[in-house]
Amino acid sequence: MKKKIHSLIVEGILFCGSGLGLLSYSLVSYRKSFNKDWAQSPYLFPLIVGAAMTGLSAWLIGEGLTKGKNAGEIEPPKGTVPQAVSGSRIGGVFAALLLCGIYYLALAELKIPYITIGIFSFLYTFSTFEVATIVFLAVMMAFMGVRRLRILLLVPLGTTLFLSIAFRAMLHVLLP
Amino acid sequence: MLDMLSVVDMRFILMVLAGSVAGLFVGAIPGLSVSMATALLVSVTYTWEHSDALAMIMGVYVVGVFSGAVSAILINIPGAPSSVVTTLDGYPMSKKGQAYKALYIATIYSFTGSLFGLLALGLLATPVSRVALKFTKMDYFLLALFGLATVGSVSTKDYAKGLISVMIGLVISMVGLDPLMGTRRLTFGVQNLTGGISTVPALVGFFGFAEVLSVIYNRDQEQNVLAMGRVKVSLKEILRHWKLSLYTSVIGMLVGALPGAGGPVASFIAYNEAKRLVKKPEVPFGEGAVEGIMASESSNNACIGGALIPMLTLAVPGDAVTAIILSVFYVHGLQPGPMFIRQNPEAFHSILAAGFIACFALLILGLLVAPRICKVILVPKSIMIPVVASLCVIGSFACNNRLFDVALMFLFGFIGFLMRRFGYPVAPLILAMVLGKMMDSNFRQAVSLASSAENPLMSMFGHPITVALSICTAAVLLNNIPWTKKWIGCLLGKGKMTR
Repeated sequence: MKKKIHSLIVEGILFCGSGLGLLSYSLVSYRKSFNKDWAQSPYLFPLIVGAAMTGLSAWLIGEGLTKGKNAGEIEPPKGTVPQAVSGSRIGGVFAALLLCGIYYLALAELKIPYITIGIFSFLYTFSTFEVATIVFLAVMMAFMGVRRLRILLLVPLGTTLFLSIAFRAMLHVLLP
Repeated sequence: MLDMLSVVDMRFILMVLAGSVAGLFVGAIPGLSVSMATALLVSVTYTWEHSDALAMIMGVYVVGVFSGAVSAILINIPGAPSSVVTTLDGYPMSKKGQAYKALYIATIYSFTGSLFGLLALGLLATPVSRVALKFTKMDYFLLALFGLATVGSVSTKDYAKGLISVMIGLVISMVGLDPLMGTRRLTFGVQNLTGGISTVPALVGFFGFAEVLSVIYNRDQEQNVLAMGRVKVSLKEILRHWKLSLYTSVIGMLVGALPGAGGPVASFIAYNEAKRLVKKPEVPFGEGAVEGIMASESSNNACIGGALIPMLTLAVPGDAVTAIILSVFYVHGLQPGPMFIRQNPEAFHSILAAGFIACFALLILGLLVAPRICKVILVPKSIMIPVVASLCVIGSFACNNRLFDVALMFLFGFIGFLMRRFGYPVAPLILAMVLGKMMDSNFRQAVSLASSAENPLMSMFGHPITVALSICTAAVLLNNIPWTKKWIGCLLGKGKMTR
């Protein structure tokens, strides 16, 4: 049986690393710069923030040690994983992030030419954004547990049409 | 104050009404927040006239803060953080079949609270601006520091976590060209970071996409709306608590004016005060006391006007939404500060006029529409969340028309999600991000000026406002650090030192 490492200690170490990183970045950049007056140096503020972050991380570690002692918790070595995140549910978050990543790649890499459809005097233009968004919404809704085919088809179509008309045509906002 | 009528026309009123209707739904639907809607609106409204943009945003803000109470009362889930306290008595009232009465009370007192806050804004903004003219560079730095120290303490139980959030916000604000010399900082050779991290993708990420990930993580329980029994509520019964409402509105306005504190803090303080003052309520607090709903709603809505005072006169936002509104000002080339009201009277009047129109929209929507939207607020999250995700993509892209911002938004969303899960508040981060550049430039200018003075320390801290702000900041910091807190308690003789 090994003693559990309190999540605050892990977080403290992470922020301590970040603080020290910022401190060393400021010092190294200051040494390389021409301006040797700290009062005017652009690295003065990062230096102060880095020092403050390191101090705060020491505070977090201290809190973690105290809480760990008080609770007297015992846990297997895997305990470095903070309790706030449970493994099974975080999988869902990563899956959603993956879907968003694919959506992003589709928006960045797919090049569908602008197609304009005329219905009487109304012109509707669609392109990569519309196609990618319809697919993304349908897949994301299926991922969120929607199983009815009618909803999976109609909601993405309707939403994308609404977003496209509202933003592109009415508000003149550029879409990805 | 009547000058504000000069900006009002039909288009302006329609903009406020559109914002108000959006605010009603956004605030009432759990999972959508006023901060998130305002952040998304910034990206849409940046090409608009600033009066139109402010009209719509004020509509969302005023009605959105109120409508958090709708879901708090009907389904026991606060639609906005400032409505958490409303659930304590609102939901028990609903369970007793008095949902309509609870909504009625929430509407009336949200209306009076908002009205009070905006009146205070109209009357106090100019005097505060006059005081702000006497502020030195160091004072601005200290004021921002005071705000960040305060928000760190009120937004979380763990002060260290609040301050860590502040530090992360400051680091994000430092990315890009430094405000005085134009030197690149923390860009690590990434060309897209040279101009700094835009506020909009960060806001959309931290408030919008983080919410999407949180909902996916929780995959929670759908709620049922309790039956809406129509009970006649007399005006006399409603107005019986006007004195207490006035008192809690003052609390809300003052807490709102404190940089960093906001609706949730105000409603907690007001609720406790109501509990202290009303010794024998008809129904005990926590079991459906009318006074509980009244205190919470009047104070959190009075915060709106209060939070706008430091934002407009000192460029220090009072809460997350005003931080976002501050970015709207920057996007439209407006510079809040002591000279703002004198130089941009029409923008100031737009805010006031939009606020007052939104108050009346709140009253109408709250009394007529809110009781009927109970089924709408239960839009399945499985449908709502994907739509919000694509809105986040549009919102973050629209600001600079580059996909790099969308990637940043996803990154900030994930960081925001992790922060929520591990108990790090997001509000201090956003305030620090917005204030970071101002703090950096003011601090360095103050230090530079002091270094050439005969007595550098006196040059920096010799000003009466500087002394007052230094004492306030030190008091907030020392009062929240556990070991210094013990020493202070010991010094004041409040208790014995304990190990």
